[in-house]
Amino acid sequence: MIERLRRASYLLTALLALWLANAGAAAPGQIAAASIPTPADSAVMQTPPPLSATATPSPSGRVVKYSGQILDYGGGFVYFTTGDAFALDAAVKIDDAATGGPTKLTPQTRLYARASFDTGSGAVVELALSTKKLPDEASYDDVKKFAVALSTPFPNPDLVAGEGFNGKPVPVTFLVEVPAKTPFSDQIYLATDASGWSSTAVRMDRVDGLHYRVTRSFASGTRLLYRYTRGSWQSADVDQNGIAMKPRVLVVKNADYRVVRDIVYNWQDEDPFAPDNGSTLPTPFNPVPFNIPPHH
Amino acid sequence: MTDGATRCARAYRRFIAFIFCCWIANIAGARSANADEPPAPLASVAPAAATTTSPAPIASATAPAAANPANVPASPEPSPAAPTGRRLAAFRVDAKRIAFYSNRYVMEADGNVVVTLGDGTRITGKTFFYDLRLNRFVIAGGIRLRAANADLPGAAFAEYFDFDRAYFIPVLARPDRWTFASGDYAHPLFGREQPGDTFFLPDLSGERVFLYSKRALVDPHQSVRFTPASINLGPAFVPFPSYFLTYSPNEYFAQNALPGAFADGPLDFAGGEHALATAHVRYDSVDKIFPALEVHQVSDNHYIVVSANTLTRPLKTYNLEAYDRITPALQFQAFVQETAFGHGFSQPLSATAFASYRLTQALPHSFLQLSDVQYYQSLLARPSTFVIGPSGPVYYYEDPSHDFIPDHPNTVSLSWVGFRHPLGRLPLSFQLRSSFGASDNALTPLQSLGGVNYRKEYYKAVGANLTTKTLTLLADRSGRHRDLYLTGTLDKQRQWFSLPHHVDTTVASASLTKVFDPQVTLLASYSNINTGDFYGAQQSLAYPPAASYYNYYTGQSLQLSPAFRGFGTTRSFNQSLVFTPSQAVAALITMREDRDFPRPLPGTLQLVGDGLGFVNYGFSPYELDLDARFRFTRVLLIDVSRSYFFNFGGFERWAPQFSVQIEK
Repeated sequence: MIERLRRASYLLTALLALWLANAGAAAPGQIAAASIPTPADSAVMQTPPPLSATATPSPSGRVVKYSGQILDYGGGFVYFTTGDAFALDAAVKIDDAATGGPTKLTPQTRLYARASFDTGSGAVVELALSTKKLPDEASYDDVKKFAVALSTPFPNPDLVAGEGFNGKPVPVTFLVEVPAKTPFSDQIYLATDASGWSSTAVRMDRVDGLHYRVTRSFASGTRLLYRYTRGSWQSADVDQNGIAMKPRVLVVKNADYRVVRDIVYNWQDEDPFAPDNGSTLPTPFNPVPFNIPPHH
Repeated sequence: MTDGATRCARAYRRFIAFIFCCWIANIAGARSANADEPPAPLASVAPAAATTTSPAPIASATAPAAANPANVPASPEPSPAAPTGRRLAAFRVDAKRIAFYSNRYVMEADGNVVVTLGDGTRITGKTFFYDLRLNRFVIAGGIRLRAANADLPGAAFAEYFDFDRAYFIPVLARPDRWTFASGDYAHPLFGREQPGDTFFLPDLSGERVFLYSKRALVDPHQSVRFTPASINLGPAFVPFPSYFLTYSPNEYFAQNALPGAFADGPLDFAGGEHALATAHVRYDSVDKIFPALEVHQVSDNHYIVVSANTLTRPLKTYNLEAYDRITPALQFQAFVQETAFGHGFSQPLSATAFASYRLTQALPHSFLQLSDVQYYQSLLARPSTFVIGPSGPVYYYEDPSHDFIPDHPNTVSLSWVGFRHPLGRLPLSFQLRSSFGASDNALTPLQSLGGVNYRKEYYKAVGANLTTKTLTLLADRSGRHRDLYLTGTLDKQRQWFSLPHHVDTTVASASLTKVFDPQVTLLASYSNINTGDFYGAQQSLAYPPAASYYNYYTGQSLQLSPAFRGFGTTRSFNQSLVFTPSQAVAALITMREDRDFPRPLPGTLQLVGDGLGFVNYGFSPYELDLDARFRFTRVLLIDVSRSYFFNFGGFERWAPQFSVQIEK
């Protein structure tokens, strides 16, 4: 009886083995598909394996590709300009980003690279190099969890303090009111520290009898010093109390559009008692008994 | 008078010499403080004190285990806005190649980069970028940080000078992110969040390199000295021993004391935080190509700018421009110009000078201004050579073209100018002013009347100005702002002279603005200027028929209208069309029509500024101005303008002007 049971079990085992063998032969494509890396879906990305698994790549891992610029390379890590260090797989493949084939480039500072991350291990399994910027594939948020850091991140009070600027271009319109005695044909300029304080850096357009304007784009967060001139520093703006102006300050905030309204009360070369008679008629009614030669 | 002029000349030269010595002293001081001398050795610099409770110091890279990530230090408060100290004062960069991109104000270094901070801290790496305006640098690739109390390998290091923070990616057993506060490399803040773009390397592809160098000495927010420097002059890079770049936020460095020129190429070659010396290669139609020199000496509240023009031509111009804000309510301004004719720098054959001084005192709701203008027709002592002229001996230097004129005309005035005040609830504002002064010339009379010469004149004046706000005549309710605006101003002034006579000036102007579209604006303005010189019973004596009038500036006598009796009128009608379709394109068309009495005199060819030009007396009856601006790149702007005079005097048609402007 026992002998029959043993034979039956052998037969059952043989049949099971035969079935398993047939089942494996019937679905070879399924096994091959499982071994091809494919971009991970978001559900998988949200539950990455622990970083401790970096040394043992998982055969079931998927691949995420991220493009960036190399800050440094070595010691089993590649560093990107985001400041992140990513572990390299022991068998990391270095190739050309354009062809996918071999490359003469070696990973180093300033080169651009497309890193392929095995989501199972979090390690970089392929590094495709280029001297030119590569198009984005996965976002930084998709890979930053693979970054290796010894310390536990904690907030930086320097960064949360004060207003944050996103650096987006903000069109800024400067609208300035000039003294009523400003000659109608005169040009008004904006002199800024960003233009080396050239007195004719940005020419403005007349809006009406008293106003000029110009629009320029600045990145938010820009701190601009500026003054108004009539084309030279000898004809720069003067405060209402007759004292030369200190530069005006503009801090460009995050906004879609900004209008800056200023008033110029006096010009430095303006003589309140010089009659506007064309300044050229050499007649005795010129209150200055001799003409002052212009020096600029 | 002769002795007085000579004394003035000596005093003036001493003043120039004093300013020059001050500048030299300043340059020397600046250099000794932060210039070419290498930073102090490491051993002589004490480490900065830790600002917070921190983990145990890391002595070197061989003891990374001492860093305990779990032991997160307390966060320090943000550092003061402008920390000082030698570490932040200046730093030096040495590399196989340093490139400076003037359009971006970014410095890039590659190959064996060594950055030496002011306290002796040395960071070596492969690649370096420094943003001059943001005052922060990043160095990356095989970093080694060596300070008095630390020796660490890393992948990248970034220094934010203005915040006194440094960010570091150490390469130890595993990478990490550290932050150094106040230069305390022994106590890093482990794991502290870093700014998102800390280690970004600027993309400079397509940017133009202004110069290449091997060493840069940076004085943050002030200047950089590149040694040596191969400067991009267009067709080729030209080697120079060094190049001094100033990018100070102090606008006084932009003050210009040089006369005008058709073209000017400046080269800063020496300087410091408060001084700058610039060599210029200039061109004008009279002197052609010639060198010039300009020196700035500035602080937050003062500047002195000295220039010497046409150094290689006999006729040289020396200018001095000075400003001092003595107190927030008191300022002094001076402009002194000496023109000398001489071969080389020997004793000149003739020398004249002009000086203008202005002292301004701010008052509550007004200000006072004391002005003094002096002419020195000849600064030199009277020569011994002379010829006998119609009115006696005429002295001259070497040849009669360098004649001796001892005149010293001058004017002093004290003016009071009130603030602009609103006129009740009306859309008007008014401004009052008054002045008194005196003019004097001991030799040549200022004026002659009835056979009497007047060498001294006093005057007093009052004036008032009434200005409207911008009034909306027709408001566009459609929301497209196609409004019609009106502005107007009325200015009235009377000036009494001791002669006696008085001058009345009345200026009335108005402008209409119609906005057709935010991009298209049409302006029309009209102005009427009436000037009357009242001599009473002596009117015909002062303004005889067919009188000629002498222009002191041009030295010309002009024949005005025989009907002119001292009462003139200028009427101008302007029409302008402003078209600004985008920030990159702008166009302006202006048509001007003038009706003047006495009628204007068409241009005569004269020496004006940097060359010969037509000088009109009065305005041409019709003038058309066209101007177009195109921005091709972020910094390149082309401005083309032309003026057309409609057969004024038969001399001119088009007066073209073409300029290429670099705008940042």
